[in-house]
Amino acid sequence: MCSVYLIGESIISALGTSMDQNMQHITALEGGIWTDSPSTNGNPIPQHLQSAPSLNQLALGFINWQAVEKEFITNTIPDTYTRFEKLLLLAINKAIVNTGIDTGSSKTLFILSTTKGNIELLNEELAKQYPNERIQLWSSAQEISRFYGNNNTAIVISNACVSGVMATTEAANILRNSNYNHAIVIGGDIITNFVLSGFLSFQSLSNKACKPYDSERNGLNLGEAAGCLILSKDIESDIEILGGASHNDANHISGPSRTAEGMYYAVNDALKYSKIGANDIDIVSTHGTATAYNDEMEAIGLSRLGMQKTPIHSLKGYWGHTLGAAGIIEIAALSWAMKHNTLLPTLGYKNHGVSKELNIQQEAETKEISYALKVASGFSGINSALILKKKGGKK
Amino acid sequence: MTKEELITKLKLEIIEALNLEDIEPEEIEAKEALFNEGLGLDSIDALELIVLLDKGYGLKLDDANKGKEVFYSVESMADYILAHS
Amino acid sequence: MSFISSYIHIKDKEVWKDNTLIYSNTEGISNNKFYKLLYKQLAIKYMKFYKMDELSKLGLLASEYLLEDRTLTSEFKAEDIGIVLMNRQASLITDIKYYDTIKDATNYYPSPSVFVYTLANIVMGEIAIKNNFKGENIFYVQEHFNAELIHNHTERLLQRGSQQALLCGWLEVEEDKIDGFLYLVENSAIGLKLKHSIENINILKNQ
Repeated sequence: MCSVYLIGESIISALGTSMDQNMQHITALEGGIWTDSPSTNGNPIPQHLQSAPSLNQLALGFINWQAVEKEFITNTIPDTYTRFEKLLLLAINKAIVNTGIDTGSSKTLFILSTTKGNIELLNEELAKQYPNERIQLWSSAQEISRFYGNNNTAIVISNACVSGVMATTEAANILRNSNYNHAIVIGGDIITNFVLSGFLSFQSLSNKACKPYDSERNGLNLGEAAGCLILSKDIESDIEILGGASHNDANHISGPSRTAEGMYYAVNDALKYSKIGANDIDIVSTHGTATAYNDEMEAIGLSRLGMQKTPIHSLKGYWGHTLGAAGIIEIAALSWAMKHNTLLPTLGYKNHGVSKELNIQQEAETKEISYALKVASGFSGINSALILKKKGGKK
Repeated sequence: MTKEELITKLKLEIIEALNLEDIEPEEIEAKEALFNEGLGLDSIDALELIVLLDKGYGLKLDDANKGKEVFYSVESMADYILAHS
Repeated sequence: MSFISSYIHIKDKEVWKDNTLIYSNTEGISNNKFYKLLYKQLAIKYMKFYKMDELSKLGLLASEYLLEDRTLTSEFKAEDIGIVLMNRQASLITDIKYYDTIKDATNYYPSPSVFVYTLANIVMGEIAIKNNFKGENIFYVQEHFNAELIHNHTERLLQRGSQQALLCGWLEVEEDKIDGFLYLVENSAIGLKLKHSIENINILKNQ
């Protein structure tokens, strides 16, 4: 079966709008979470959200919308697109820039990972500016692919917080088994009053920058981001996409399994399809949302898999939980880490706060990385795992 | 409103807020634990009870640990409401 | 080689199973009343049912009819039973219901029990929990029913041996329309013994 490579990637997050900005901040342990205390580094509350209730006493990962708006103009992204779509278009522009792929080709496939897409169009005033169907996720995906002259039916994968990892896995599988040569995998979600109020009602938001796996962790930070991964079976690169899998816990729709059932099966399957063992993994990019139950579940899962000594990082402390973008931008960061042989540090972790031993990376460190594992878990009890390989790595 | 009246009212409100369609108010014992096997309630129901207290009685309950105490039974909910309004 | 062993189609107020009409209601009742009638007809005792949103109710009912005479977990390992679903509107009908709890600043009481269903894939969690299916899940959102996408994904999972049985289909709920189509794919030829092909899936869906 043919190999699938990652040939381009982009991240637009609270840390910045370029890969370089994002990775510089991460390796320097500089977070982008805004809190309402004056000492914060994060981007301010964007204009369009200022009327949202209960923004006080929250910590959120806002994109720098002023900077992004300027880039929309320099990238000639038309105003007929919504805020959410424009962000995705910008992310695609940044990822395709040096790949040389033909975005309009019938052999190029667009795959969108999002949870809520244009949900802010439920607001009647805003909705007036766009066609009715634009609130539908497939409609967004279609408009985005049309922007690049692509007439294939774009695929939307909406599976809560694992959407990005699942979409990347699916894209690689489709490339391996079809006539498509390239896949443009886009992930995005923006902070809206809709999502914010929901997470508030779930009491899962922290009022401080989140602390993954820490004994004082008290919830997640909602973040907004967009990212893009360009996959190809025609053009080789240093990073290969290997096997991935997703399994359901069959336990609870909004709480993770106490035994990490789904995560355990997903990682085991991903290892099996990649024909490697848990010992071959040099680094794990975890979900690490900093909620009490998620982090504990992952610790149990990694322990069951025998990976308690494997270096891991969670990037949620930098840009928050970015929902449909999370898997995409965290894979993009992971691929950077592999190419630069750098273990990425976890921001916010100080005192061990989960029941199992974990090897949580706290500072950037040079280390040869051959295989990396990305995991994610989400509402409905779903868990996804995907493995990346670096060319020339061991084995 | 007497405590008895409040308990009767709460039972109806709980049935509606938590979509307990097949349950009659008489089936909920005021002193019995709400979060037991019988009603099949879970963590999302507990969060919905917080909304019920806020919406119906103007009482904000942000501390999850406090919630366990308050939502132990219909009677404990009634006691909490009476003590705080 | 894989086969479709059974299918269920809940369309408007009718329930079809393997080409036979097994239930219909012509009284012009609401969707929710209809779901309740099906729930009673199936005689399942599952309190959580009433807490579900429309999409999850439809998915759960369809899966109950589909698996009425089967216990997949006694035939296959839990982690080998997957779910592959698709629809057009994702969770929009519930999104609107949730938005109603927050759109008015003077009556702002976000409902957690509605919010949790503002993700289309929750229905897969509900079916997985009810049946203890721990296999692969994926939820696609497409403008139209795309049998090819579902078929190809399902075949890849069966061919690499990771999954032994998969519940697949389309679950769409609109205010005055119900379209719940689920079918069971497995490696052995039982029940309908219909070859698992894009063509056959489309034939069943359009029947």
